[in-house]
Amino acid sequence: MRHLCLILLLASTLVAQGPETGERRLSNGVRVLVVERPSGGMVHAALFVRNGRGDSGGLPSNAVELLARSLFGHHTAADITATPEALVQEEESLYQSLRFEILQRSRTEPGAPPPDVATLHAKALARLKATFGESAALDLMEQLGITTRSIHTYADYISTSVDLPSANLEAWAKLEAQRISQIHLYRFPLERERWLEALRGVEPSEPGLSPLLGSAFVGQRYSSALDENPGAIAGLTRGDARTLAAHLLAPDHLLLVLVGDLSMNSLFPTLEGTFGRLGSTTEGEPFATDLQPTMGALRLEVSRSTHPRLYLGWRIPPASDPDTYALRLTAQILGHGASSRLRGVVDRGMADSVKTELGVPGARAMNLLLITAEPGGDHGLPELEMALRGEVLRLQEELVSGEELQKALSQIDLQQLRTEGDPAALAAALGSSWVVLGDWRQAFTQARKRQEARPEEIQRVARQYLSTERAVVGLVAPDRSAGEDPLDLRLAQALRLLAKKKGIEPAKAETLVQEGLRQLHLLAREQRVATLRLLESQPGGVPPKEVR
Amino acid sequence: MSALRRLLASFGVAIVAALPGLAQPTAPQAFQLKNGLRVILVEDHDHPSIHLQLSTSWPVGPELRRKARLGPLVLRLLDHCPAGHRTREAFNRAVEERGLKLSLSDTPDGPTWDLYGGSAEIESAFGLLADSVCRPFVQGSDLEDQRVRFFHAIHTRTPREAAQTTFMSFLDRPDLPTEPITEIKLSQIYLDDVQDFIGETLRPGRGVLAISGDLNLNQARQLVQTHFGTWPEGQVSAPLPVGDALPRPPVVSLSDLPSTTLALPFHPSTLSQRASMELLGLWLPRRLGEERCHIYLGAADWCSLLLLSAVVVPALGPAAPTPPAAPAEALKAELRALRVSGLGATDLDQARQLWIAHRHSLWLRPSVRLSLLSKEALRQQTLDESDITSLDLAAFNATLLAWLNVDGARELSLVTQLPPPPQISMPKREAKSK
Repeated sequence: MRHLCLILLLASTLVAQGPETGERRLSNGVRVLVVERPSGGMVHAALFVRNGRGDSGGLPSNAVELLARSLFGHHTAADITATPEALVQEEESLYQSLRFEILQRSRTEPGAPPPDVATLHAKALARLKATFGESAALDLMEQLGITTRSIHTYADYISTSVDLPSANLEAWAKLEAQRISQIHLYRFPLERERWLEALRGVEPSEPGLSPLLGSAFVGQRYSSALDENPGAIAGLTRGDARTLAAHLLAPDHLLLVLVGDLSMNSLFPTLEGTFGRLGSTTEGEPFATDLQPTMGALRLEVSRSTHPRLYLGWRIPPASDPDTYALRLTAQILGHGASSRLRGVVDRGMADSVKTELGVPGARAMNLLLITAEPGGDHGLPELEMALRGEVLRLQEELVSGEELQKALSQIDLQQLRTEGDPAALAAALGSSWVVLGDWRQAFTQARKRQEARPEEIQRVARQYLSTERAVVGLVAPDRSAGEDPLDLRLAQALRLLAKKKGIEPAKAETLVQEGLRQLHLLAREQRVATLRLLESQPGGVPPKEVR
Repeated sequence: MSALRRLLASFGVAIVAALPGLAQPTAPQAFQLKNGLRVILVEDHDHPSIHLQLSTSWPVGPELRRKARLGPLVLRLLDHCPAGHRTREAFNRAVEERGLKLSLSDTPDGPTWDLYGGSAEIESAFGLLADSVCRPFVQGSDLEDQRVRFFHAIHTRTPREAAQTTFMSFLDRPDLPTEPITEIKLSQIYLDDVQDFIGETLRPGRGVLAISGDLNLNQARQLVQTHFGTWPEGQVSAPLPVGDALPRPPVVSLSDLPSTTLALPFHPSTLSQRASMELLGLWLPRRLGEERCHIYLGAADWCSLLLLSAVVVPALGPAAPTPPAAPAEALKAELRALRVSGLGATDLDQARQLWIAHRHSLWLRPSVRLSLLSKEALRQQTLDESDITSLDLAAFNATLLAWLNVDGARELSLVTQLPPPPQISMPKREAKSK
């Protein structure tokens, strides 16, 4: 053990302490971080908004995503004038009429909405498209020599970034500050359509994770952070997004990170004249805070028409908690790298893939340490769960070796080293640390925590946090209604019809149908047959057939 | 356009003048070992780190067909077999205990290994990379294990994944057959085949080692010689081959999203001017809309134009969507017109600025920069700023005319449609019970 301590002490002197970073605050509260480094006359500029999908207040979390797409996406001359306002309002009005008609008809006579409203709306959308154009040649941002641009919406924050010549940084700051101050969001209807189109008929990339979070974090900020519910998206309006923007985009919530060929001193007046002039938005009451977190083991079965998948998670404290570094090491030992413990489960053929993550879906509040695995060969989900739990149990029962701990520490050091060498990754690390931990310096100051890392510490956090009462298990299996059993198909049909008669939104209805089927599967077959007869005997129900 | 310029001028945008004055990046250094391995070094003394990237090209000529059959399985084997007299488990542990990260990826040109680490472990980094590339040890048991896993992976993928794999492999290498890999074909691969193929592919004459890190040229020479100098000599690699004839494209259909992705692969012989192609690759999608098309460069510069013509079905709109072919036809008509009219001087100037800005922005993406240097060395095709600035409009439009022949190109469609309405029917056994 003494030997190990010596290794750790020596190694800690090699740990990166982060690059030299200049910090200033504009008069209105916007923060600016600058990392000056030679970059061939280019600069990476990133803007962070300290609110994300977990901060949507009473609106669905999708509202934050739509706001980000509409605000930080393409930007042409039309976006900064008042001309399109009438056109956008006309589209909104037709859109609401169309939604109302569809909802009305679904209660009375199912079918397509009246063609006149639908056609008028389609025409209004087409006019909007023509106004804003798809071509990047018209995009004001593209004219600045921008080579890479990105928009990300996370549970804790929104980030948007560009790579551009340093000489055009001032023009970029003017454009970016202008659109934040105006918040026209003319592109909102187009972005909403585009998103709905992309979701049509596609399984989510993480099937079943959203319901799992909803159950694990009831009443808390992350309960619906990953929802992609088409019904909820379709219900959002530009007015919703503008109200949300007023809450989220206060100068105090903004951080600008600039990395590359630039100088803080020469740039500061420009920033003061652009981002520094952003007025305090009409900030309303702060959104409701989390309810008291609940614990207790949770197990959820989700039906999806995808490969079987297992989610094995544990509720862990926010990233600001002192135990976070030890938890990060624990996750590293468990599942990161080609020689990690869970990789052994893949090598043995028990799983096709295993992924271990910390901070799902965010890290500002209580979140998940999550293992996601897909069974391999003929192995089933229960068998896979046992294998994964076995590795976790081993971590709780036995001390990890000094070599294994050292390996985990070295891999975390490498991640930091790579972050420091890549301007975009560096900006992301500084920004996310500010958002999540409240201090950008925390992105690189882990030398002390590193020195304190011990095998006993790993065992302690594994016992404390990877416990049964914190466990959250999600089993995603192929859709039962897609199977051979005719009874399930008939039940699903009857439930869908019932939901339609009640006027429930189609997307919400599907969730209810799946949950209903799951619960009905807890009953004996005879009872399910009786339930089906009862459902089908309702007025307007499907004509009953004999069912076994 | 002038209104746009006035607007931009009001923001103080220097549209053209901003770029030529940028600081020039440090030139990479290059040398070659006696065994044929080409080495590129980018010194970076600002960060205590090392990044090694070793790329090799697939065999040429008739061997290409063999690659299509063996390549995917061989890549899996190389990632899982013992290396440098260590079992794979011990090898992976040795890499990670030293704070290194090694990955193997399949690129259109050939396998590529990336190794990252701290500069304190430079010696180990070179040694472990050499073990992985020069001393893989493939045994029969590894082959059987990976064969079973590969077949399982193929067997369990969704129709969408299968279609996308076929589509992408065609774009990467349109001159190779794209018949699906079956269990029978996999079972006909023997250990001798695999070992011969690895021996042919992993030769220094086919490889490029790109190094970025805290070391100078002398240190790099010494380390490369020590660890790769004994790699058995191979033929010095020729530029990557060009296929003789356009193949018959596969047709891929799915019942899923209502969209059409149309790929028009163009024969490399039409790409007479590489500089023009690079400019087009940046300019064209911006002109026509990145959501509607983009340029894809596969192996040996097979250059495909992807037309992404998603059918617009308003979420709450009429039930009948626009026919999938319509947007693709509209886009093709635009391309035909563009081919005839060519670009104007302003357009070309804009394309040049984009290219230069992209090259400079690689300073912000060190890994991407290293990959580009490596790829250019592997293909023995290098472009610099003077190639771009010296390109005249007539030469550019001549390339456009030769390349952008939408009607002469073979089409490959990835068609996706709205899912059919659910069919609910009672199975036969129920009918019998009546």
